[in-house]
Amino acid sequence: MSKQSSCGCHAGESCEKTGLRSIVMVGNPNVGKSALFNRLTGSYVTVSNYPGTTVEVSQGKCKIDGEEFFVEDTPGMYSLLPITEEERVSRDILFAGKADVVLCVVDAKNLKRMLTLTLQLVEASLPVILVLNMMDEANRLGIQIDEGELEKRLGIPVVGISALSGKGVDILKSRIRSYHRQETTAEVFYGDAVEGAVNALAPLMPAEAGLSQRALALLFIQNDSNIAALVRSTEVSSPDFLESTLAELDKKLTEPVSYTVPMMQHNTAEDICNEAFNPPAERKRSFAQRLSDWTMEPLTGIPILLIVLYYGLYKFVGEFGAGTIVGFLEEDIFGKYLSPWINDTLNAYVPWIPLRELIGMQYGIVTLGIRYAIAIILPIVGTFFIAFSIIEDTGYLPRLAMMVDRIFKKIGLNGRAVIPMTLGFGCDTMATMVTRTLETKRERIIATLLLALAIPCSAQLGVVLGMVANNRAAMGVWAAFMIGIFLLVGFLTARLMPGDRPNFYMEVPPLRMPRPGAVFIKTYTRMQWYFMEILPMFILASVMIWLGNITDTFKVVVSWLTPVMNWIGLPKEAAVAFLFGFFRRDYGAAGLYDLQKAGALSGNQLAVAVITLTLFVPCIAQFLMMKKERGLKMACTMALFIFPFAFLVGGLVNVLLKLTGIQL
Amino acid sequence: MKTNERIEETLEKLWEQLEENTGGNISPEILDPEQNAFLDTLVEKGLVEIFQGGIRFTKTGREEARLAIRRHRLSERLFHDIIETNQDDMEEAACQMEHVVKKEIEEEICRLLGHPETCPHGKPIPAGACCQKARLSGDKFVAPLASLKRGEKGVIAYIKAGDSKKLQKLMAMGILPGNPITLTHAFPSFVFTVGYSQYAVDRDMADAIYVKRGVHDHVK
Repeated sequence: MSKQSSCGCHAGESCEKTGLRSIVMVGNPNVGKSALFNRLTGSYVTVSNYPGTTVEVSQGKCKIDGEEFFVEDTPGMYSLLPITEEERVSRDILFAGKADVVLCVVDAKNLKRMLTLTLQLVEASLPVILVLNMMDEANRLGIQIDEGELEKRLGIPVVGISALSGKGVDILKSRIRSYHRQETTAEVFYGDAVEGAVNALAPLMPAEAGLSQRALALLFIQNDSNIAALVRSTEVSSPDFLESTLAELDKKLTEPVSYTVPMMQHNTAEDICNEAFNPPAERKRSFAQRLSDWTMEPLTGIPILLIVLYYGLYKFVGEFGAGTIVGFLEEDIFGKYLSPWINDTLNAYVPWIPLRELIGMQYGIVTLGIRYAIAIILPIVGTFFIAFSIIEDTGYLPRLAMMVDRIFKKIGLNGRAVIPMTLGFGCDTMATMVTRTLETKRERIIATLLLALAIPCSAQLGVVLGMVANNRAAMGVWAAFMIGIFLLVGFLTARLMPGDRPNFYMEVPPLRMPRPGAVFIKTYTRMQWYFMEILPMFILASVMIWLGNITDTFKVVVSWLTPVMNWIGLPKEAAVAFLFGFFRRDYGAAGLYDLQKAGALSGNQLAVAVITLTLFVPCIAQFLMMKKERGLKMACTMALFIFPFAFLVGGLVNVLLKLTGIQL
Repeated sequence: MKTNERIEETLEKLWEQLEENTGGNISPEILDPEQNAFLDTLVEKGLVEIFQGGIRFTKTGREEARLAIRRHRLSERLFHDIIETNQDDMEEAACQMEHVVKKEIEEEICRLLGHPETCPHGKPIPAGACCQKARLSGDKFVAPLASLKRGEKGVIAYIKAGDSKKLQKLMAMGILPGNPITLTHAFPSFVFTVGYSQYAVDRDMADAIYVKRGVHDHVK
């Protein structure tokens, strides 16, 4: 095997040319694939206690006894027959047939349920190793699993591990290294009718695919649209024969094929588990289970949610992040030391004024770009991601999804959308990317629009909360308008875009104590992603503003915006903040923050400003992500709606406050 | 139409009028001419009698009518709930089926449906002997998950086959017939436990899962 040394293994990029033996990890959602991936590759992919967090295919390398392996982690799948986009991605990887070893990762305590996927993979003639993850948790529950018996029945290697603690991972590695295909592996017997049809159809299936012809035939009879299209496009099979075989099968079976096949797989799995899986006689109810029940009970769940929001978001992110840390970095470090020092140095040594202004002064790269990024945005986003990672790691989010499902249904979404929506409070760009975990196109569009319009990102939120902290009435008006607009626009969009009612179904993982290591890694990877993305954007924005300034285009655009500012009752200096806001939402917010601190805004102006700014444009990064996920046309349509809408609402609030004579 | 079938149809029609609308004693005019012409046969067989210018059931006639209406509405439920045919097909199929159902099969169907109390149109289904027995013996009902009480245990009986995507989703998550199931929350969404896993679903999904109630232990 030839080895190539370097290869850009970024998520989503194929890495076929390495010549390394490759390991593909598959399994149900939330079984710890990402944790195992991190163990094997030594890299840090976010591990979360929320089904469906891996949206991209993570790739990395793993060294076992000197041999390097190429490792791919796939989004969670329940079955070879895909329902969601993520499952399709995973299936396509298996279908491509590049894997030398397929690790089928299961949650040991739910072996019976997950063994059906293992059986499907084994039947597809894939080189499977069954990985029983979370063995420690299963043992704690008093479950005994006979790995030898499993190996015998399945005909494949079986290894029990704990990816979180690392126990058993070395044994797994050596089993991967020494892996060779077994002679006889398990096969499910589906009854004469199905077997007859499968035997007749199998020879017509593509032979060179990564899945066996038997497996493809099984998918075909279960009405898998991709496989059907593939088979019908080949010359080998006559459409009549395919149709008549399917019709005949349908006649012979009393239940639909898509019911019979999984049922038989389930029976086989159960049969195997009767031998190899010994549950404890009795189950204890732990405190975590009781707490879990409380979180899903409206009477106790809503207070718990409010506590989480108050301490997690308001106290920790708002007061500590946006208040204490920003105060220290912004006013003390930058305000007293760094900025004056830079400006003095520039004044002393740089005679050319434009260059001085590029680096320092009012809008310079250091005094504006880096100051905003480090002193204002970083503490806020950082504290948000810490809070979010802790909440995520406890497994609280699926419970929140369950609580809000009914409300989300009204706006054309379902409870599942709670993940992109809450993540949006951290970074709307990241959240827009995560909308791809939603099942239907309709939900993805609605979620994308709402993120762009009504969900303020943490940086924006932090700055907004900082601005209205001393004006509770303005805060109330802002919050009421945001919630109202979120629901109203969601409701109207759902009406405008007819489509199937989305179904809500989700696994609820056990509540557990957040693990500091996992929280750290999650926060770290998110921060890294965020920083790599925003810092260049901040610097670019500074340069653009500098350019705009010295060429006077900046002044022209500000003068265009001045009438709009007048109409919504803001001082004309606010135009600068909105202009910045286009480069980064938070940048604009930070600009307003400066204005407010200078005492340039009245209470009413404050409310109008924060409402307009929150609604106002998705930043460039989010817009680019919208274009990538939803297409240029959709992204432009949304932006064209949001621009005037934000100022329209701002104007309305202004007029409304004036008419009612309210002074905030 | 065979005579028996016509008798049953007419009895059902009369049941709706006599038992569910006015009650007691009505004029024959509400029947269509064909059925009206049939009235003599019913009188001859001792199922109805003319009373003060109107008609009313005899004791046997009332019982016959009750059973006929029960079979009709159970058949409707069967086609509506399990086979999930559309409204027109349901009517047609139910009309044919009700006449060929034997007593034992009627009870089987009733048990499968979980001894339902109303037809898909919301009209009451007269209770059979099996319904009373089930109620007495600690209800071995089959009912949609959504109708279970909180904390109630059962065994998944079947998943409604109407929407195959829904079926696939549930089956893929391991929610399969024969598995013990416990409903832990019913509001704002439905939460239940199967094996060592907990799931949350909306009402639509919860309505598709039918559960044998009152069976706690593992059924093999």
